[in-house]
Amino acid sequence: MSEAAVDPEALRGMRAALSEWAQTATGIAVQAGAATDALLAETERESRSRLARLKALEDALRAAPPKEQGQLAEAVRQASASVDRARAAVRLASEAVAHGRALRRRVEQVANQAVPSANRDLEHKLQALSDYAAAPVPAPSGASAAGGVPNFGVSGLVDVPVDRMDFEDNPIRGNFGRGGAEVGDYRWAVETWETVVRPGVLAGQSRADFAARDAARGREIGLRRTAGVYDMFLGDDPIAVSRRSDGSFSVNSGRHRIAIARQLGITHLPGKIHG
Amino acid sequence: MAESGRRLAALESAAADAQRSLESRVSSLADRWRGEARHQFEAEHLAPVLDGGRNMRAELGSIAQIAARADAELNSG
Repeated sequence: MSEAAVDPEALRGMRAALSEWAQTATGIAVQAGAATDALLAETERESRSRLARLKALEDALRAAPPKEQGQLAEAVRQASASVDRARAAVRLASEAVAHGRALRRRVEQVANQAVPSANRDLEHKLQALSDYAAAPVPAPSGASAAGGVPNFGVSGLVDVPVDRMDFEDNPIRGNFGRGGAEVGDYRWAVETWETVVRPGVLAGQSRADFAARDAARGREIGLRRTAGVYDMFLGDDPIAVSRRSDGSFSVNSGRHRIAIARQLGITHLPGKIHG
Repeated sequence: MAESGRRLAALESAAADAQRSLESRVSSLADRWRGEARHQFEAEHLAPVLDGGRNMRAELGSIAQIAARADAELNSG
């Protein structure tokens, strides 16, 4: 399993990093909203103040004797330009507020949806690792704890070395997916077989145990059910191979599962051997 | 007025720091978690968060610029 190494502390580290980022990002977005609100309030206050000054100057101009009107008219012109600039600043501040609110919505979406979703996935992985650690570890040869051939509880199914299963004469063509399943689904299923279902079966768990476990987790696991993984490897469509004279096995059924197992560094899969 | 602009610029800088910290922590875990499951996690879960962080920084920069223009409008003339 060297290609799929995982240290639970790394998963916890990832979870902590994401949670801390979410907290920091939310705080920044909230502060940005407050800053843009303050900006708008300041520009509006300044705009009101300049408008009041303009009105006062206009009143003074109307009441002024002719000899003072020229100077006051210039002051009114300047005050009017100043009001226009303040109004432009208010428009810009309003724009900043709108951007700030949109930013906060987007950040909260990431912090409240994407990050929790990532952390739930990490929790599932940690749980799978915990289950794996709690289950009896099969001997390196693939033998069971009792010292014999692994007992999957299904007649005719034995551990077959992945590196001796060969389907070069019948390669996977086109898209990897089959029957609506995508490569990610296969990866999840094969990894779950190796880390959760196989150790559980060798420890004596039945399909009903996995179904109960899925039910306990409810909707959050969606279609990714350990009972489905049990069926995939020990059900009606197991990996099937034929023994060759050179000791290798040609693959009759299960090429997708075997291909993924190779990618993950898994050494044995249960299968039926013909011949 | 200028204070709001300074605050927004400081927040942009804080967002950049948070992004760098997240990226650094994620890459520091590479030796202890590798393989297809990690690649899948990165594609499905981590990428949207990192994109969100980059967008936040860019948007804060844009907002700080708007604030600076508002400040310039008030102080010109």
